[in-house]
Amino acid sequence: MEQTTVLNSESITSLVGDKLNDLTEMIKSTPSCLKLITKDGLLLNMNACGLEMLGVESMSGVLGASVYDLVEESHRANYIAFNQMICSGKKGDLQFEMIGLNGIRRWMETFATPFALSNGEIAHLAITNDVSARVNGEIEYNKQEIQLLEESARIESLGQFVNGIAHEINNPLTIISSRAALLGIKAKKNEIEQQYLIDGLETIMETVSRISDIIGNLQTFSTKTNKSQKSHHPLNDIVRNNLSLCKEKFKLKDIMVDVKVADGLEVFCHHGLISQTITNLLDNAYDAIENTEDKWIRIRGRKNKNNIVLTITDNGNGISSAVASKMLNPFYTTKGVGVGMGLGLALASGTMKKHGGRLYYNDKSKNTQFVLEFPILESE
Amino acid sequence: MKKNILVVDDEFAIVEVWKEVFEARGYHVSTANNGDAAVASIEESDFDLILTDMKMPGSDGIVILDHIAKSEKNPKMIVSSGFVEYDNILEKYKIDMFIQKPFLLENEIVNIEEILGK
Repeated sequence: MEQTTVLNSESITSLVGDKLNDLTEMIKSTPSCLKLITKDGLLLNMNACGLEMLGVESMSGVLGASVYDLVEESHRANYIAFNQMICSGKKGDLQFEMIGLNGIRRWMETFATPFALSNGEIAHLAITNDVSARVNGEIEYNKQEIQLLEESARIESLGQFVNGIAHEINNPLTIISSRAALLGIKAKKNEIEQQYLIDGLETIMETVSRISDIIGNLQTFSTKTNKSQKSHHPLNDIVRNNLSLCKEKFKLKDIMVDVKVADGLEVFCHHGLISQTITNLLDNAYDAIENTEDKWIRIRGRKNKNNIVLTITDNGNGISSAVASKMLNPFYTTKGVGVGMGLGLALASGTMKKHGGRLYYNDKSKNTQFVLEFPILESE
Repeated sequence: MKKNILVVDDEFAIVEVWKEVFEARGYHVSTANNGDAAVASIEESDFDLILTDMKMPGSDGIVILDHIAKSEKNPKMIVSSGFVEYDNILEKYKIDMFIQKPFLLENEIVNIEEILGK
């Protein structure tokens, strides 16, 4: 049978020497920061690892200094609250970003516990680890995921858009195809009269023209953004192009659309992106009101001193403050599962920011109103 | 006796074609341009076939399908649409044929007459 060493204080001492009883050696060598701070965030003690993270060689110079100053500004309020909680007698953990005295940023994860000082005051004793590699990896992964999701949302939007366009075009195609077929049937039987033929061909040509207008308007949605393709565009044209592409959809639901855009208004923009932004707002309005009574959408464009404003209002009764505070956030949606990913408004808002303007919800309106503000710029 | 067909579509040019085609073949054709108007016609007359578009202003094809489903009447039902997503309507309602717009007129005439002949 293998002999095992019996661990008692004598055998342990022989293994590790005096270092066992000298916790200082252990604390010095640990790869984690160990620190003690007061309820006001003042540093009482810190081990070598912690000092190295701070970018200093010893406690002189940092003894009694505020650790709050080392916490990244956006995390500071949280850290202060965390310290207060620990010093009230509770244990806890926190992840935060710090900036050392050497300017190096680190993501830190801390596990803290209350520690009674000799004057009875409760201080904050913590073990803190550098988790930058893990957090930075997560941030990078999330950024990529968001990019992929934004791309999917664009593709999904495009899918819905294409479906709508297919319907707009399928009816006129049906007219052309069936009228031409009927003319063919009668011609084969020698039953065709000249006026009938003329009327039939006119119907076909008018309908071809109708499809051609739709396709022409579609080109405004071209979004080749490899180069910046901003130029001045009449706001009236942008709005009317958008409406011509969805007028059938609004007509089907008896939605009255009233447009008043002041003459001569031009916006300096990427036509396709702004068209998509307006389409997004019109789609949202449609979804919100399609099952209401007395449906209407009002579009107004005017020039203020410093900007050009386009408002899109529908007969809805406004949006709750709870929803309004989140609806420009990516992936937030009030629509059912499978109905969009909640990126439309976020994308629209991003587009307006890229144009130096903004999109916002006007909670002062008694109906539901979104506002697009365009800066008045000279062309680049 | 002439068979009775109801053609429902908000596009007048499409209704015109169907009316001409079916009347030339000896059918009696009534028309409507939305769901409610079609239901009013259905309540007044008996139809052997109802050929209806789905998306129409005011009230759409679903109104007609719901009405027929609840009534004692049993016409042949043919639904057409420019929206692709309606092809799953066959599962929910008793429909004899779904026509995706645009279509080849001569082919559909043959298909429709086959359904009427059943």
